[in-house]
Amino acid sequence: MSKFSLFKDIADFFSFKTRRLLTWAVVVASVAGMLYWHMPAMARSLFFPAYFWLITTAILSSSRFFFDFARTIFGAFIFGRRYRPVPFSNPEVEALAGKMGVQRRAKVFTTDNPHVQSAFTNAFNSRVYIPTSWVRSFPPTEIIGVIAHEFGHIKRGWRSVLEFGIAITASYVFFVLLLELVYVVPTIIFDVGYIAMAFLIASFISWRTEYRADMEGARATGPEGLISMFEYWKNRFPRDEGSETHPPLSGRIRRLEPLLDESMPA
Amino acid sequence: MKFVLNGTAEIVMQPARFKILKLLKERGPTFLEQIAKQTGVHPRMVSHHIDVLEGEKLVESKYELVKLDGSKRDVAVRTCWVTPKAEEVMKDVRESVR
Repeated sequence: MSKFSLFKDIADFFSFKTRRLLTWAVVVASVAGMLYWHMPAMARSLFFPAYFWLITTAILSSSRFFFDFARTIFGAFIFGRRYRPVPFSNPEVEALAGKMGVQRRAKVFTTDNPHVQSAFTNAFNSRVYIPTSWVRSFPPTEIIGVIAHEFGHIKRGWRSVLEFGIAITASYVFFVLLLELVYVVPTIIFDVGYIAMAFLIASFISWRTEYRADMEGARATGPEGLISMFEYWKNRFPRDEGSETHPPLSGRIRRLEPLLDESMPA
Repeated sequence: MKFVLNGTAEIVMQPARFKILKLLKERGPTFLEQIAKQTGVHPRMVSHHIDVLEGEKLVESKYELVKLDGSKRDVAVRTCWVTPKAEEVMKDVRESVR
């Protein structure tokens, strides 16, 4: 049995909906916490232990996400140096890049790195990575659908960064304004509230970015390949409820389905 | 287990494709619109899946002119049927699930 099994069991116990609810509870409690010094003594003595437990539960519930995120980042970029990515270029990919207007920026690679378990785009250098196992297992039309989705991210690149920047700044300003409104506040409440709020907004934008990349890709190649891939993965996951970064597959399929009734892309 | 190991089974394990193959196996040659109706899969998705399955030589298809119920003129339909390889792959998948 893995030494992480207890930790994983606890983290798995919380569904995505519960995790999101807990993060919202942290934000709401932080807003209320701004009035800490204005609370009656009884409320103050109850607030801090409750707030402490709320934050602990929220962090513990999301620990699996943080752990997986860190593992992917370290695995893909630091420990993964020994897995040299192989350029994946063929006339179909080049035609798609031309059609989506990313031919000068986007480069596609396949990788054997076991830490890369799904296709992703490095936003800094517009490189798309696809696990070699996917290229071996999935039909070319579906791989092209996935690449079109990733090109959709590249196409919207700077706009997504701008949206993230605005969201993080906006939530910071929101809490700074609250801080100024009530003058004396425990700084930790401000920090926790800000981080929780920024986390929620970043998650919201990430979901929207994924939906938009799906649409961009599907408009370029037709939605069939992506829908087929999503149906495959939906069938393989025990729970289809989305994550902090990606919306649920059923929702993504639902949004792509209307495109099936539109005319085929030229 | 050779189809599980060489990745062909992975293609069949896409739920809609499995449904389509199962239907073709049970009903014999069936045309695309009928498959869509019977499985509840969108006709464009059926066409995509048939292309994929045909690429893997699990299904064969051809265009035919047939008279549909109530139609006075012939209608062009794409009739599909499973190959013996598909039967072997499905058997492999069932065994690997067990």
